[in-house]
Amino acid sequence: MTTPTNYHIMPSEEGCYNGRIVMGSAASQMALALKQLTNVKFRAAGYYPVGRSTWHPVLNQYIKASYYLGIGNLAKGATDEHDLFYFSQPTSEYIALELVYGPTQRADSDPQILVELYEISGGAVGTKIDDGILFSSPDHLQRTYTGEALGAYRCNTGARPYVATATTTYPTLPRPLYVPSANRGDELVIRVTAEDAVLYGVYIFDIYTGA
Amino acid sequence: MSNSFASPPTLASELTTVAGQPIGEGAVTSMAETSNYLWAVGGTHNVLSQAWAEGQCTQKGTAYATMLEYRLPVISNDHYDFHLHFIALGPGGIRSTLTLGAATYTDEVLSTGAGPHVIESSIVITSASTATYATLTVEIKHTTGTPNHHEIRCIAGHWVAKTSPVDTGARYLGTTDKYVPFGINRVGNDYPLSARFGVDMLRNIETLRKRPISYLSWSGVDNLLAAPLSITDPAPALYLGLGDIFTFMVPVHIPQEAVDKDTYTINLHAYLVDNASSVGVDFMGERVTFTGNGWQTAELTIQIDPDEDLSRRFALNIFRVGPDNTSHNQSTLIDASVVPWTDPKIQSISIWGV
Repeated sequence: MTTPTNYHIMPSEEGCYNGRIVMGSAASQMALALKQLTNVKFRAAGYYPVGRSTWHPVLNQYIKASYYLGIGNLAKGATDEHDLFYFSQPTSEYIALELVYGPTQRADSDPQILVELYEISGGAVGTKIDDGILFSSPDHLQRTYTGEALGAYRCNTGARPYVATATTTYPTLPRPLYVPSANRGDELVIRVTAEDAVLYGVYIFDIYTGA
Repeated sequence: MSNSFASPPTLASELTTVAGQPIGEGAVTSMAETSNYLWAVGGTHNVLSQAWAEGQCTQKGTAYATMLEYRLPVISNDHYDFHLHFIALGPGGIRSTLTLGAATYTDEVLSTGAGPHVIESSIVITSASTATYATLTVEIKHTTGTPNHHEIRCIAGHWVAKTSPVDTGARYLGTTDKYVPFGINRVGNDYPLSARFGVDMLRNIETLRKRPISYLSWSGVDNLLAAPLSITDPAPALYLGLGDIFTFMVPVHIPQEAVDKDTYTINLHAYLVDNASSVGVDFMGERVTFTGNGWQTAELTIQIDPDEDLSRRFALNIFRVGPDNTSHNQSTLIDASVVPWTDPKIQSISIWGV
């Protein structure tokens, strides 16, 4: 019996009054509702819109709002790095990400996005606790050549839990990041480094493993 | 042992609580501890998250200027410590003020690192409050030194989890959502399982189901020292724009019951500017009408379907949260075709639900 993901209907309070026979289903539904709250509702999550310049290079004006998508020409190899805080929960184990990105418009671009997980130590970004994953093009990321449509694209890690082995080389292909048991419930940092691409949003959440 | 809990909790196996099984002490204790744990820890992840590209959220002035403002859900009357983290660059100060009802609480942090560094700020609520949401304002200033500005790359905030045990007596969110903690000694062996246990458990679960969690928090960047003059100057978004439609679409699990029933609410708070009469904006299939300026609130009724691909992949009921890609929004939110944009604008927006 897996954890329900939604709020199932609870038994009537009257079924728990004095003089009533306690039914198994009442207690079972309480246990399942608590599992839903623990493993589904109160999963950790952090949703980061990433603000970018709203200067219009053609109109030469400050638009004051995100008015279009696509980022034109970046220098080859230019990077866009972000340290994002993630306040994990004691139940956190695998962390999924959805990235919203715009590839550079250069014909020779080779977009890639590296994601790593760090702990916070002594008020600073500390030890790396997951050596990371790499989104690359053309397997995981779009390339946008000059003259083709610009836009915000999305990619994600998927939800398949991943177990490293002694021969695992990092960064790996995209997968959920792993939080070691010693770091669960800690304040963590997810470092996202995009090359030949820029980030518009990084949406992070614990995956539901159906326990 | 009174209202204690283990963290992470040991969940009761539903297999031992089905009909025909004796109600074992272990399952009942686990359920009571899990409930206490959820009251103390549930929802203490990010309630506020936003980031900026290099050089955008930047202050060159040496006097504090209010640059960011957010509305945030309060998760209970017990959680009194709001913890903020920033990635900052350059010498300067950050003064954060949390307003609950008429009470305000402030914390200020000065730093000098030239490169990206972590700043932690803690705002402690010292007087019991029954407010169900708070307003956070963030003031930023530059202090003497190099570089010649103070820059914020990332802001994140959360309510700090309470430690075991849960305080005695009934606990609340606001004035109506009540939680009665479980005395762990009383659910051990050789104690009678009272009718009160069942009733309290059902009511506590309902209260926990209503506890708000954040879906989206976004603030425009206000009060730059000077307006940008070229592409190399900071030019962050001050208002919600057309491009945000496509970059938000935040993937959030929302229980179907919050979509189908009136029992649960999804709250939207938006700060309006230049809204002389009223303006409608489409969110998740519903057109929300804002009347007047300043902070406006609404309860959302979701009219869209879940994102089927993500829902299948992550085995959850995932909706896309944010302004919709409708023709109405495309003509309501700022684009570059009309400069300056004199129609109503949204300067800050937060959405939270269950």
